[in-house]
Amino acid sequence: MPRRILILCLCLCWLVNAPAWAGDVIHLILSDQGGAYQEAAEAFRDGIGQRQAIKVWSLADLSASQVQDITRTTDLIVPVGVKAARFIAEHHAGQAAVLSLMIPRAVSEKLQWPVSLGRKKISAVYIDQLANRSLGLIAAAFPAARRVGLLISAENAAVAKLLTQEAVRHNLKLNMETVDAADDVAPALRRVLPESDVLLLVPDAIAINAGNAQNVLLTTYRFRVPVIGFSQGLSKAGAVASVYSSPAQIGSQGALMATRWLQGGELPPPQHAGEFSIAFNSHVARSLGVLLPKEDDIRRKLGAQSE
Amino acid sequence: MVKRRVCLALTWLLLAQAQAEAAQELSEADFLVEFPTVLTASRLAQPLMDAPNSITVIDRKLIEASGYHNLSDLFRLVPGMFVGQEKGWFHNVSRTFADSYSRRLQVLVDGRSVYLPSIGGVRWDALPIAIDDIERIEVVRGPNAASYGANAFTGVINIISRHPDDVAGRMLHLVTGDHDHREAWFRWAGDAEESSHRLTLGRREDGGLTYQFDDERTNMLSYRGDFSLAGQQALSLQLGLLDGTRGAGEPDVPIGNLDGFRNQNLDAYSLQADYKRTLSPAQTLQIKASLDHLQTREIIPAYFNLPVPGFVPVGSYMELNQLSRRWHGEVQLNTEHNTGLRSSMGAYSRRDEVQSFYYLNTTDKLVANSWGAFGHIEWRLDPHWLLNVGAFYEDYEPIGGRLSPRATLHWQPSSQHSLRFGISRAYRNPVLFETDADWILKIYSPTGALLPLPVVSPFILASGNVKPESMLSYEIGYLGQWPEMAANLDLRLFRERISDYISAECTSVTRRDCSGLLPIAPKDFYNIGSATQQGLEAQFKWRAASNTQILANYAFLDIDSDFDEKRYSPSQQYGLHVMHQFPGEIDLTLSHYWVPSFKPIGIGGGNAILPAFKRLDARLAKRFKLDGLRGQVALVWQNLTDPYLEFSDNNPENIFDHRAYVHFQLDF
Repeated sequence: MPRRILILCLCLCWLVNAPAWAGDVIHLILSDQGGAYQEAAEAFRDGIGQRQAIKVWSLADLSASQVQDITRTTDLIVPVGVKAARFIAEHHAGQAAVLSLMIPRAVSEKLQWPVSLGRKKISAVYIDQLANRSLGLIAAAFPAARRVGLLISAENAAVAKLLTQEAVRHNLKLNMETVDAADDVAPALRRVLPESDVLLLVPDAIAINAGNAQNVLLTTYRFRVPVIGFSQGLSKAGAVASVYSSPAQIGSQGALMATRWLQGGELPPPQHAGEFSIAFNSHVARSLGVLLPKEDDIRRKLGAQSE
Repeated sequence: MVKRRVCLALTWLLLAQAQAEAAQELSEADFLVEFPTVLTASRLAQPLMDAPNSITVIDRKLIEASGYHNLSDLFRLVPGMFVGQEKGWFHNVSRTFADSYSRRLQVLVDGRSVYLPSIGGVRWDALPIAIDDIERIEVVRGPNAASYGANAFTGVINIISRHPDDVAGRMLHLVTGDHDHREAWFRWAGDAEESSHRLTLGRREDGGLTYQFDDERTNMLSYRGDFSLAGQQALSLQLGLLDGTRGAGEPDVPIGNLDGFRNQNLDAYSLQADYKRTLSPAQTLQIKASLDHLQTREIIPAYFNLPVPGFVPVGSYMELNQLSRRWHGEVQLNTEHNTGLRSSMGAYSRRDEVQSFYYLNTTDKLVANSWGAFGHIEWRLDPHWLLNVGAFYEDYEPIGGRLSPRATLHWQPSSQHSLRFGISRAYRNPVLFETDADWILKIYSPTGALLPLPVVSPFILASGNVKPESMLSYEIGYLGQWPEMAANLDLRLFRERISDYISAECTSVTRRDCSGLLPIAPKDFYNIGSATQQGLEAQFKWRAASNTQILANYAFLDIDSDFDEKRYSPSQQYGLHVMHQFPGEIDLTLSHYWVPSFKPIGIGGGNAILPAFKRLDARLAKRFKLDGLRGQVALVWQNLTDPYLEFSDNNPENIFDHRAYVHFQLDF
């Protein structure tokens, strides 16, 4: 008897001090503690409602075994950012569904998940944009532009293919140069820019990064070719316009998908955020002598949110 | 032990490779990162819509498509600009006042004035810059003294060179063609840690015009280095060296010659340093320092003869040396204020040195110091109205101080149309030749002794009693852009009142006293009168198809002057350029010009009329790739129509005939 009581007490104690991953808690695992991750997490929390328990982790606070435990004992994990998604993928040991937020499509498609997880248990909200949006922005902002310069590495072949298909729909000609190494970027730019009305930057670790952004933008300015970027930061730095989804917009989209999962036990397929914004740099546009249609008209035309 | 080291090395290599791969992988950080602000508004120029002047931009593409190998020829692409050629190497580029020296136009290379303080104007053949190194040329049509000071009287040409990063690699450009024309250019550009460099070497030879002794030989070197310094600072250094010879002179006549065949030896160099510091995203400081030097040396065969048996010719030669040197320092602060207000202000100091015993009759170096301060405000009153107000105060030592103000009001009913109303005052300071000339015949004997010529007066003896020329200009400008048609139209309607026009006039009662080889009275420079110029300039650019570009220029000019020369610039001019890209990387350019008859100032003794002419130029180029190398071969034809008479000084056979050139360029 005392032995049974002891076991019961231990069980009660375990229940009282139960780890957070027990039960229907959604685990948000942030790659880092930065503002963007927090912003996505808050939008996710707001979108899903107060009644759903959410536990937010920073990846730095989690060990591999903890991740394994979480994947075994919980139903839905939401990693935010590439580091968190990759860590979950590497240590996934259970049946938990995974909804990755804020990761580039190219990375998302390469992540290896346990075979036992069905397709309906793996999904993502990409941080990059639909080809249609970037090219739609070019068509709306530069109606006379026909030749679109593009620098891209082999890693992004799939994106290049999508853009090529979409360009035809917008009556644009893609003037594409492939870059294999950082040293290729400057010569490729010099080849592309004289033949381009506008340069489209797409996320590509070789073609454009924090290290070479200054040179890339200055070169485009000297060639008087306006740039379409993919982030607010690029527009601030010198791109005439950028189409992007903010962490909050991605977080909200994630909440919608998680709600679907909670209701039906299935995750919608991976997708781009439905909401997006367009940032303009009117100073640079003016200095290039570029006449942009009204910014709000462009946003309305493309269905973008105000900044 | 060895095995362990090998293992460690392998592990290290694998780790390094993994890190490199990780560094190259995309992540959300690429989307979220804050990039350094690169293009701050204050370091940018004004867009054409907001500029207080009409501006024609000749960009790199147009420069290449034109096929021109003379820098001056590029200005044929600008409405209202007249380009003439007195010799194969002596070119005249002018707006509204077509004369030999084009003293009323300011010319800048990367913001550095290359205007000659000695005789005025620009020696286009002595600028140490290769056409291959020019990124673009901005031509301000109309007075712009409020921004660039005196001598920006009828316009400003700003030649902007190419950044080393934009031409990285090696280039070889060879040209050969009619009239013994040969050019060879080699360029290298590359970068180091925080700097990039461009070095261009070139040689050019040309046989000049058919009936003239005007051969040209030029060697050139130019260097540009751009350095990124810590804390948003940048430094650009430029060096240009040029030397060469120029043929000049006329054949002997029975009574001798005072302008015999000879070679002019030419030495030119320029140094320039530009420092830029971004003080904040809204404020940029620029400091410029430069030195320009041009020296020419000529020994002119000169003697008198009597065609009678036994007469021994008198005299042997004249010595024509000229030195022009300009030191310039400038500081400029550009600021973008919060309320749609942008400003630019600054100051400069300059020292001009001129030496020419031939023209000034003194071995002393003449020095003219000047300084100036300028300010410009661009104020957006509301989305449809923009105000530009500026002024330049300049104190030129030999003449005194003058203020050149300007105001323009822009009405922009939409982002595609801008109507500009402007008023400005501009001055042209007389150059040192106009204030200090003492040009007297000095003929030396074969032994180097100066011949006594008692009956000779100076050709020109300048009293210095001359005021700057002044211009009050009213203009209405329109710039319309139709992005959906890829077309834009630039119109300028102007009325310019020029006062105190400077001209060399006879000091005696009869003009004859001042003319001839041995004048008995000299000329002096006077402010002889006024003129009113009214006109219209139009430029239409249209990309008719994705592979076809059309550029059409037209200019009309009406002159009403109270001095003798009524028609010193063409009353109309037009130019049409069609550029088309055929499949297979083949480019064709056709350029057609028409200039009616007019009488350039001071040419041909003041009486020569330049007949009307038409000219058709063409360029056919094939671009190719060969084992990863890019290059092009181009055929260039100049003047496919009838030969025409060029700008000429006493030479009725200054004929510009048909020419053909072949260009070969390889980038490797």
